[in-house]
Amino acid sequence: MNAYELTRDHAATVEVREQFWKRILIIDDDPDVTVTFKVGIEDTNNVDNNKKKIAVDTSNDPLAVLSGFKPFFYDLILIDIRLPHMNGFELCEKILAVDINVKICFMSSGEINREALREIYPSISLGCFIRKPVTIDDLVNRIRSELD
Amino acid sequence: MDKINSRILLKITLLVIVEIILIVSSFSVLAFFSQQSSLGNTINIAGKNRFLATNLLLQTEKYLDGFSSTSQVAAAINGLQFNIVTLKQGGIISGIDLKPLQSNLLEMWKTIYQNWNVYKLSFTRVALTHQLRARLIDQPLAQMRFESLAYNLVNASDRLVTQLGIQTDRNSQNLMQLQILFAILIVGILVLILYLVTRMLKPIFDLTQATSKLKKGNFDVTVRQKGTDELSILTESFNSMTASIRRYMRDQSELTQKLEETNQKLNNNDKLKNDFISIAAHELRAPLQPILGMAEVLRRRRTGEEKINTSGKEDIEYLDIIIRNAKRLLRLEQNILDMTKIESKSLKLDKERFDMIEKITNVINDFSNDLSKEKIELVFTSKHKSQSEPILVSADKVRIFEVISNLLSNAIKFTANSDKKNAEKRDGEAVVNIKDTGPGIKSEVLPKLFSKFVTNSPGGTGVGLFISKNIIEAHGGKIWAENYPKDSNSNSNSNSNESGNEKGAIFSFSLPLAK
Repeated sequence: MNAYELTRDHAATVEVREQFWKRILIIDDDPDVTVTFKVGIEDTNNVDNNKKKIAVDTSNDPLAVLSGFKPFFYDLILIDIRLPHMNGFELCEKILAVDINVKICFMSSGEINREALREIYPSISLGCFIRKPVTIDDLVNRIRSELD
Repeated sequence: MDKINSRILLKITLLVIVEIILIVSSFSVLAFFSQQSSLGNTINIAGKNRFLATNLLLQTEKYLDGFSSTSQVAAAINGLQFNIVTLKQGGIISGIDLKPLQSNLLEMWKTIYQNWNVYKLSFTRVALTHQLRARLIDQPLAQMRFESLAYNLVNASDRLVTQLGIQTDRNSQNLMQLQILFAILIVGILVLILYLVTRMLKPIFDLTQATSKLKKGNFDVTVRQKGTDELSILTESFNSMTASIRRYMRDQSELTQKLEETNQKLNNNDKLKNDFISIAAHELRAPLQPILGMAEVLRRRRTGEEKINTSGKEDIEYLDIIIRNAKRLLRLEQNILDMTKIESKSLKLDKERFDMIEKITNVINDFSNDLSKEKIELVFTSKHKSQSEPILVSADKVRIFEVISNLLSNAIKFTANSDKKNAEKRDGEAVVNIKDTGPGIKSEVLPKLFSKFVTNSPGGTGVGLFISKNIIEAHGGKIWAENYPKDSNSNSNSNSNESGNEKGAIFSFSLPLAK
């Protein structure tokens, strides 16, 4: 059972859910990255203490995410473009097929060829794209502006 | 003049000569025959014999009857004599120039002459007898005798006339046949000449057709060649020319194919290289995220502690070092990636509309955090008339950020204590000036400042300005640098004149405004 499933089961209870303003999911193949983002974002929850707390779930495996994905659970999902088994865009299409309302942000440490992307995945919008590496401040600002 | 050594000219000349000979000879033959056939005068003179003979007979009878003198008969005899002799020999008679009698008619003429001689002899004898013996001769008998002789003479003359008529008829028939024959011959020769000329000029028609094919791009043409004249030589040259062209085109297409293959290989290599660099860049960036992020997390936790002790302060400083160097590594990596893209001409811009003033403010905020401990001040002034109105450009946000950061970090590196930046909107373009108070740019470096690996600083790599220049130019803008106070020979792109006693360098770039 990976970190994603643990936190998900744990967070599934209504009580826990009520403590948070929004809930996000970060999917990246590198556990070091996911843990950095989780700790970084959750630390700002404590510092700000403005009750707009963000719950962060993470996963390193897109298949695990899809296996138990339910609609209306997450407000925002950050997807790394390079993933095992499938790329971030494919995962995005599969997630949107289940939950059309969830917001999606893509992340990558490489550059994006938007023209090629439009041709291959015409339904996907790159409105939110975060280039890694990103400072925790920038990341949190971006996430909060997307969630607002 | 050069000696004319043309076979084709020779051929044409020969044909012309043959034609002239033919025409001249046919006309000569025809003229000869027409002359031969003009026997009309001879017929007239021969016919005249009948009249003269009849006249002589009349005079003879008058003489025998005693009504006529000897001299009158002698005149008639002389007239007939002259007529018969001239008929044979030719000469001027009755106002016409008579030709001598043809040899095949001489036998008939001899008959006339013999008959004439008999008549003449008979009359001479009668006349003599008549004079000497005064009409002793039986008159009716003598008349009968002379009538018979005259009849013989007339008869012989008539035979000649008839023969002449037959011959004239035959001659005119012959002439007609001859004319038809010559006409056929002339037409035949003309047709032959036409055929020969056509055959001689055939290479020209063939060559014309072949060249029109060439014009349409069909180089696979050969013209059949035989003979040795100039047109044959021309045909041969043409054939060897088209063969050369074909060979050349084949070589060319082989070469093109080779080039295409090589190009394909190069493209593949280039793609492999770009792919490798792209992957390498990704792989280099990826580990920086946890380093940078965790350093930040730790720094925040340390800063958030209620009581920060000395060791805590030191930890924060050390974490800053990690963060600063991680960022530096990030910039270096970005430069490598950009250099590769510029070199392979695959620099792609991800354009969007944004406000230049906002972007500059962002960069300055970013830098100010890092500069807080140093004695460098960043000042931003906008020459733009209305501060609230944005200066909108359509550009690659990340790359413009890169350019401004680059120029700003250069300025900070060289600056003594302050740095100014301003943005303004000119006609159709946004101009950003970054001004420092450093030592300025060395005059020997200035002209090639934006070239690859050229740097004004001892520790610089010389790629930052090169990349900045390429990014700005890819946007359709310009980038330039100058020292101030202005050198006498520097150009006047900058509007800065508030320098006073300060000196330093101004880096400027312009971008087209968003439409």
